[in-house]
Amino acid sequence: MNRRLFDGGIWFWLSLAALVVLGAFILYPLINVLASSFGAARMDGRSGWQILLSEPKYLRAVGNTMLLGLVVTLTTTVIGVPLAYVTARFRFPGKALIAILPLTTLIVPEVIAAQTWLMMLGNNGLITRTLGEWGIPVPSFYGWPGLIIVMTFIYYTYIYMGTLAAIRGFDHQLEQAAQSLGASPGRARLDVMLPVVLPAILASALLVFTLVVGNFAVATILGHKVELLSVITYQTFVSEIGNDPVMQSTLASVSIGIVALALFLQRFILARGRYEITLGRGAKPVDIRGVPALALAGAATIVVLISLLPLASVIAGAFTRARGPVMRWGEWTTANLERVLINAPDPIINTLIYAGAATALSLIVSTGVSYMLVKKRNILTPAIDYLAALPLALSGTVIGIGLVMSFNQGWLPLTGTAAIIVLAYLIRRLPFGVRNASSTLYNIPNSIEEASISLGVPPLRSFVAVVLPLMVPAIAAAGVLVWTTTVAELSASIVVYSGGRETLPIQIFRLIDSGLMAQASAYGLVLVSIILIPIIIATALFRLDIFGAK
Amino acid sequence: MGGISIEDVSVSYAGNRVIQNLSLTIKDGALFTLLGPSGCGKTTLLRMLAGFLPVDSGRIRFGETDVTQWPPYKRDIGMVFQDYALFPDKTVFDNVAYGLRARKRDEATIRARTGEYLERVGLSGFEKRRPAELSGGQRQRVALARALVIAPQVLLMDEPLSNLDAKLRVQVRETIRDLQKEAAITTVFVTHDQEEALALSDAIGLMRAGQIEQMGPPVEIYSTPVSAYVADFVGAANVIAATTQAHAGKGADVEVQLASARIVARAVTDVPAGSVQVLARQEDVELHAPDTGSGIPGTVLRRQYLGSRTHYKVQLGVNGPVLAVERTGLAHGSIQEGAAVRVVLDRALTLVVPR
Repeated sequence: MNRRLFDGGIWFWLSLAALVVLGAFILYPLINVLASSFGAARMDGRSGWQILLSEPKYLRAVGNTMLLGLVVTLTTTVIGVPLAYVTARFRFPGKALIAILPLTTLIVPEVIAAQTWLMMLGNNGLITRTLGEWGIPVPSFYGWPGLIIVMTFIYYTYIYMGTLAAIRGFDHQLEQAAQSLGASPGRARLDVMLPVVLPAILASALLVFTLVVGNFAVATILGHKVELLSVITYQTFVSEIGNDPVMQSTLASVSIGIVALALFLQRFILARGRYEITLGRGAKPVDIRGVPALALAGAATIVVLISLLPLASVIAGAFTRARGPVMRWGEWTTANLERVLINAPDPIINTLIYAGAATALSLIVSTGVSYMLVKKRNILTPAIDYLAALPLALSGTVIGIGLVMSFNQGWLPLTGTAAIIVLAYLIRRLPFGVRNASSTLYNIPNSIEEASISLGVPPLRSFVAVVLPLMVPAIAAAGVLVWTTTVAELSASIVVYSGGRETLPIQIFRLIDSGLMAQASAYGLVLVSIILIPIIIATALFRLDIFGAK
Repeated sequence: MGGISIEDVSVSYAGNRVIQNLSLTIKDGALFTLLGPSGCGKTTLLRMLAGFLPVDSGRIRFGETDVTQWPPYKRDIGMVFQDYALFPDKTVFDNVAYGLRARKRDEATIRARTGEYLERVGLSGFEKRRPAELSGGQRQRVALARALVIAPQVLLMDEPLSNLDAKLRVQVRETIRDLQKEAAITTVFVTHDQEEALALSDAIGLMRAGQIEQMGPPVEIYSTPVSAYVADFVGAANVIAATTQAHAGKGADVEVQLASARIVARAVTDVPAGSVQVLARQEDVELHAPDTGSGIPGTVLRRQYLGSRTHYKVQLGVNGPVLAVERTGLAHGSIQEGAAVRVVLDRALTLVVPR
C-alpha cells in the first residue's frame, strides 16, 4: 500500500502544489472580500451590509443591475436565437455575412464599442448632430437606452453561437421520427428540438447575464445617472483607497451573490430535465427565395451592419481631425495616430508586455492544470477543478479588488507592480484556458500515451513526444483567443494598475472620460490591430480553427 | 528471453480487489490467451503485466528477471491496444519507428527494421500515410508492426481484434499467429471470443471473477471443462442437474441419476457424492429411433434446420430437463417436431463436475 502512494506520489504533490497556488491567488482574495464586508466601518462602526441596506443609492444600484441583466438577457435572446435558427436551417443571399459575426464581438473591445456608439449617438455624436440640424430631436443616449442597445449588440453573439452549435448538433432524425409519428413539422420542432436545444440557450443566456452584471466599461461610460453595481463598486474602491475597504467588499460580495444565484437557478432548471445530447446529423439548410429570402437577408444584414458600426467608427475617428472634444467629421488627418504611436506609445508597449506575459503563462498553467484534471485524477482533483472555474463567476472588478486587498502588503506585496496586472489577466482567463485544454485532452485517448510508454519512453517524455504535439493546434488557438481577450481587458486591470502602467483599454477609457474621442479612436485602432493581426496570421497562415469546429 | 511467471499476485483497481492471490506460469515463446467475460479481470491482469497497474502484493517475472517494481517503459514489452492507440499526427513509418527511436538505434537500422516489419504486415508503400487515412485492418497491422519491431521480450495484446469485422478478424488472426510463431515471443492475448482463443492459443487461461478457473491447451479446455462455467463459456454445452451415490476420483467413471434415467459418465475432477452437474456438448448428444433399446426416452420439442446442421430441443422423459442437440451428417434434419426419440449420452463424452 505504501508503495502505491509513492507511485502516484509525484502527481499527488504536483496537484497539491496547484491547489495551494490556486487557493492563494483565487480563493484567498475572494475570502478576503467576503470577510471584510462583515467588518465594521471606521466611520461609524456599522458593517457594510448595514450601510447597504440603509442607503437607497446602493439598493437602487442592485435593483438597476438586476434589471439591466434581465433586460439585456432577454433582448440578446430575442435576436440571437432566431438568427441562429435561420442560419442553421436556411440558405439565403448574404448568409456568408453572418459567418463574420463571432469575429466582430471578439475584435471590438467593449470600451471601444461604448466609445464609438457615443461618437455616433452621444450628445455630441455625429448622428445626433446631423439629425438635430435637420430639426429631428434625438433622445439622450445616456442611461437606459444606451446601456441596453450597446450591451445587446455586444452580447447577442454569445447566444447566437451557443444556440447555433446546439441546433447544428441536434440529430435531425429525431425531428423526422416525431413527424413519422404524426406531428406536424412545426410541432415536431417544438416537441423534440426545443427541449434539446434549450439547455444551450439557457447556458448562454446565463453567460450573458453574468457578463452584463460584471460589465464595467459600458456601464461607466454610458450609465450616467443610472446607478449600477459595477460602477458604484469601482467608485467606492477608488475613494476607499487607504481607508477601510468595507463598502467595496460589500458591493463586490453582492455582485458575487447575484451571479451565484443565477448559476444556482440555471443548475436547478437544468437538473429538472437532464438530457443526454447525442450528436447526430444536423438538418441540411434549406434554400429559400423570393420575398422571405430578401426579408431574412435584409434583417441579417442590418444586425451585422450594426455589429460592424463600432469598427467603422473607430477607424473613421482615428483619422478625423479634432479640436479638443470636437470632432471635425470629414477633415482627415494622420496626426492622431502619429501622436499615439510616436509621442505616447507607453500604453501600447505596456499592453504588449503584460498581455504577452499573461498569455504565455496562461497557456503553461492551463495546460498543466488540465493535464492533472483529465489524466491524473486524485482526491484533490475536484477541488482544483472548482477553483480553476471559480473566476467565471467573478467580475473583473471583484477580482481586481480581491487582489489589491490581498496583496497590498504582507507576505506578498504586489500593489504597484506589473505583476499584479499580469496576475489579474491570468486569473480572469484561467477558466477559459483550462476548459479549452481539458476538452482537447479528453479527446486524446490514454492508450496513446500508454503505447508510447510501453515502447520504452518514460512518462514525461511520452507526454512531450506524443500528447503535446496533438495539443499544439488547440493550444495555439487558445493562445490567440487568450491574447485577444487579454489585451482588451479593462475592469480588473483598471482596479489594480498604478500610474505609468496604463494599458490601452485603460488609456482609452481615460481619454473617453475627458471627451478626447479622436485620440481614443487612434489608440482604439491600434488596439483593434493588435487583436486582429494574430487572428489573421493564425487563420490565414496556420489554418487554425479559432472559433471551434464549423 | 524466457516465459512469464506470476506469483501470488493481488491487484486492486479503483479501490476494489480485482485479482486475489493469482499465480500463473506462461512458457517461453508461447501464445497464452486470457479468456473470459467482461469484468472478469483479464484486462486488469494484462495491464498489470504491462506495469500500468501496480500490484498490491506478489511478484512478476519475465524470464529470470523480477520486474514487479519496474515502470512500463523499462519492461521491454510490446503492447497492442484495443483501439490501436496509433499516434494520429505521425506517419505510419514514424509510428512503427517510434520504439526504435526511443531505444536510440541508428537511423539506418531504424529504416531497415521498420521497412522489414511494414513489409511483413503487408503495408509497404503506406509509410507516408497517417492513421486517419488507413482502414481498420490496416491500422491494426500498423499497431502490430509497432509492437513487434522492437523485438520485445513479451508481447501483450488487449482484445486487438474486437474492432474488426468478422472476415478481417480471421485474416489478422492468422497474421498475428504467424508473426508470433516466427519471432517466438512470449505473448499474452486477452479476448472474450472463445473461437479466437481456441484458434490462436498454445494455452488458454479461462478467467472468472479475478481467478483462473481452468488453464490448459485449447483441446483440454474444450474437451474436459472442469466446471459448468468453463463448459458453457467455451462452446455451448448442456448443463444438467443430477445426483451421484458415491464419490468419484478424477477421470473415473461414475453412475449418475439423471431425471428418471441412470447413465454412466466420466468425472473430470474429484466429484463428491450428492448433487452434481452433467455436461454434454450439443454435438455429442445422439438421437436414436424410439424403438432402439438404449438411451433415455424423450420428445422433440423444436427443430431448427440450418442447412449444414440442425438444432433440436429435446425434453427427457415426461417433464424432465430440455437438452440442446446439434445433428450433422446424413439426414440430420429428418426428425420432426413432436417425434419420440431415444437420447444417447456417450459415456466418454459426457462429463460430471461438482455442483
